[in-house]
Amino acid sequence: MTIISVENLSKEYRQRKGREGLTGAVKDVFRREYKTIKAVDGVSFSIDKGEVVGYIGPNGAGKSTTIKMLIGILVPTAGNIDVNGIVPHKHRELNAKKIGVVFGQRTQLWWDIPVSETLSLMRYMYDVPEKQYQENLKIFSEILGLDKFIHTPVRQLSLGQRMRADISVALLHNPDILYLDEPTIGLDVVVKERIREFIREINRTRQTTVILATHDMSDIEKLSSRVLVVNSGKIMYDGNLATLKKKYGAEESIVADLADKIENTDELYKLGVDQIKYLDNKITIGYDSNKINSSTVIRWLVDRADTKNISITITPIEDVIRKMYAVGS
Amino acid sequence: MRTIKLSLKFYGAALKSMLEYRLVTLVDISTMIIVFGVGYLSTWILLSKFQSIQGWTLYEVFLLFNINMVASGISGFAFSWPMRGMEQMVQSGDFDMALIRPMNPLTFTLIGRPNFTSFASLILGAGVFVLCFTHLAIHFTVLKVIFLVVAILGAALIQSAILVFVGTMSFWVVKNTATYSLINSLNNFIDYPITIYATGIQAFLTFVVPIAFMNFYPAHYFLDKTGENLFFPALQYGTPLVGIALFIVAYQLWRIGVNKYESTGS
Amino acid sequence: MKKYLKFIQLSFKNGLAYRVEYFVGTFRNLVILLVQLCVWRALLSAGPVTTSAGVVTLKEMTTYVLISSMISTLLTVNVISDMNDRIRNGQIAIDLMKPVNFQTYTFCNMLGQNMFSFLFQLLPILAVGLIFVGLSFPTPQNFLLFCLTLVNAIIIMFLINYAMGLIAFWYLRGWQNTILWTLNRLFSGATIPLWFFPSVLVTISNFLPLRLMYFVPISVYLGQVTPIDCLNLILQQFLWIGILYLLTKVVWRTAINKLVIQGG
Repeated sequence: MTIISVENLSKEYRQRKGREGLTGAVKDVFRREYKTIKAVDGVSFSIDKGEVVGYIGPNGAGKSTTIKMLIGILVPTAGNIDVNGIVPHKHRELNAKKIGVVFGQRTQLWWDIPVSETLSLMRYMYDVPEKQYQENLKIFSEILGLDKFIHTPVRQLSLGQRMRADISVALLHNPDILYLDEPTIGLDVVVKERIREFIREINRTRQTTVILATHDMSDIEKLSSRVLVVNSGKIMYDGNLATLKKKYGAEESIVADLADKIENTDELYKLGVDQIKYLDNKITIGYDSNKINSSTVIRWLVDRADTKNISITITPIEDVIRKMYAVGS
Repeated sequence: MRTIKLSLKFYGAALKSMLEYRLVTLVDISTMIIVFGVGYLSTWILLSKFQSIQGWTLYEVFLLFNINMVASGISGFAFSWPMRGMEQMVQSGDFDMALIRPMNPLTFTLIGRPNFTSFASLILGAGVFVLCFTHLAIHFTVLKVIFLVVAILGAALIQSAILVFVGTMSFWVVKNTATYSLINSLNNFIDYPITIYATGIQAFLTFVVPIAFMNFYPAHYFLDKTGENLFFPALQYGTPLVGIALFIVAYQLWRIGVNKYESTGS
Repeated sequence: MKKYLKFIQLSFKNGLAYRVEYFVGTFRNLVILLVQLCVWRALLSAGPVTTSAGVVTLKEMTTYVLISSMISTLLTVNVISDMNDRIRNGQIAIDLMKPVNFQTYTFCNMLGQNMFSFLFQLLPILAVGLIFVGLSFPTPQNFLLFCLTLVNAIIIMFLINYAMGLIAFWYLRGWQNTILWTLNRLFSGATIPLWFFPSVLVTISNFLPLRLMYFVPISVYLGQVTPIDCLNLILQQFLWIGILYLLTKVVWRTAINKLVIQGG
């Protein structure tokens, strides 16, 4: 059942163009020149209830702009949006009741008071029934560990705690749709995983539709199977993540510290690795994940040397997009 | 209704927070008392020496001053911090938060940051009222009491409208603190009865930026100023109407501002 | 020494960046000036009045108010809000690392800004004074003494603001400006000359250095002060400069210690 339907959505901005030189500056005082920036350019897609969709693209691709239009806080220049049967920016308050939003860069918590106070206030604002309120608090505590810092004033929280609190607030009223705009930016791996687990759980038990905008591919990998790739305001790909990776994002690299150098690496090359580089004690292995997967590589390393500080880097989204363009043209 | 209950909940949370910062609250209240006190002291010094200004005696000028203080206290409580904070909210994009909630964005912006220290000026103002009315021997009827309350609320509306206007400017102008200073400086005019100014200025303060309705015209209702000529005698009763009208205008401008924000983002 | 001159120069040039604030400040000054002129016109409508300093006419009060307004363009400083900002955003750490005396540096900045704002804001007030109302002029001798008291006034104003600004190291909430400005407007004689004060308030005022910034210079300008008294007052100014300077040094020492020990 379709819950979000977007058709030919566009958003244009007029930006002042400063003209060159002194004469240009003088001219600017009398009549300004503008250039039109298309932040979102004819985007169309539809999302079903209960889907977890990744909205990925490089910085400035138009992700946040689209999310804002879906939420209803930004008015489109052209196109249609239908969320749950209404047009978001036309019925902002009605739409707001059914959605939860988390902005990665900004908090929606009140700064000087404890998290519990914000939750209590939100409960009144969204008319959350007592039973649901208690149930939700329980889930938040179980999976996110909210009870550990629920009484701490917000300004004393760490980034990870603050993000968990923000997500709790966003989901308190059991919204139909959860929008996340760069939610894991700056967080460490442990917290990231906890948040991802929580979102998975909510989606599973409540059929909450999740839209996740990010430029971190690993977020999407762990959470969703469907991904929309956006670049320069246009949708470049709408489909299965695994397929996308196979085609354009298969390149990964593993970096690790080895106690002693491994002399014979031919074997690894035979297994399908593309490139091995050494710098002091650090080994960097580049490979195509379609040919060989990370666990195989790591196992190979660990079997042969004392390995520490293993990190896996997957293809950044910018490279995926670049490849998409290259193949397309 | 629901909004009122919600506002009270928010005010309660803000009050709790304020009580935790005891030193800050104490300093803020002390500052307010000093500003309040110096204002009255200045007037007292002048009128002790000169007996009257343009026919207004000490307690009459106190009354004038006081209506302004109390009205500003009421409006300042709800509107001051939120509207002066709009500059930062709009520039940083934090104003988005006001738009993702299932409620009126102005209401949301207001209930988040009440200024409880304004109550100090309310309490002091109430005391000064008692002082003034006793010394002026004004006989109070039910009608007069109602008028006093309505006039103060009307004056508070005027002041609130001005604050909303200043906040709305943030949607168009980057440096908004200047707007606040600019408009605030006009308040200096109504510290004294406007009859001390030339007719042109009196007209300006009545018909262009109608802040004379905040204290001068209501004060006329209570005092026997038959010697003075107002533009129209009916102006004495104008405060509530001016307050409502001005606030409606300010609110419409605010909505235009929000629409602009929704069109261009942050 | 040269670098401090450079700071003044830089600050002066930067003045243009603050033109919005100066414009608003000018407007505010003119409004306050207008209100005061009308107030005194109303108060003195019945004729001149006798005070402890003799007979005061409307012409004298007009000049008083005008000069007070002009002085305020010189004495309105951003020192406190500037210091509050620097301490709040940590800029202060960078300032302290520079091989300059922070106090002198702040003073030079202030001088540059004030010279600019003075030039910017003086003209409208002067215009009002010369064209619309009557501004009386002092004798050359008085004028020189007046200027001397003004120089001292600027230094005193700076020291007071600087000392208040240092409080930000302990308590950062921006209240210093409001309290200082409010008390100053009254006890310095900026709005009401001290001749009109009841004796209790005159006594209080005599203990504060505030009157040395407005009331004293204006009195000198109006020729109300005999040369001997004038020297006496200037000496008092020097005395206060000394006291305040020592005070700032002590507070500074304490502030730096706190900073070093507690960091942040």
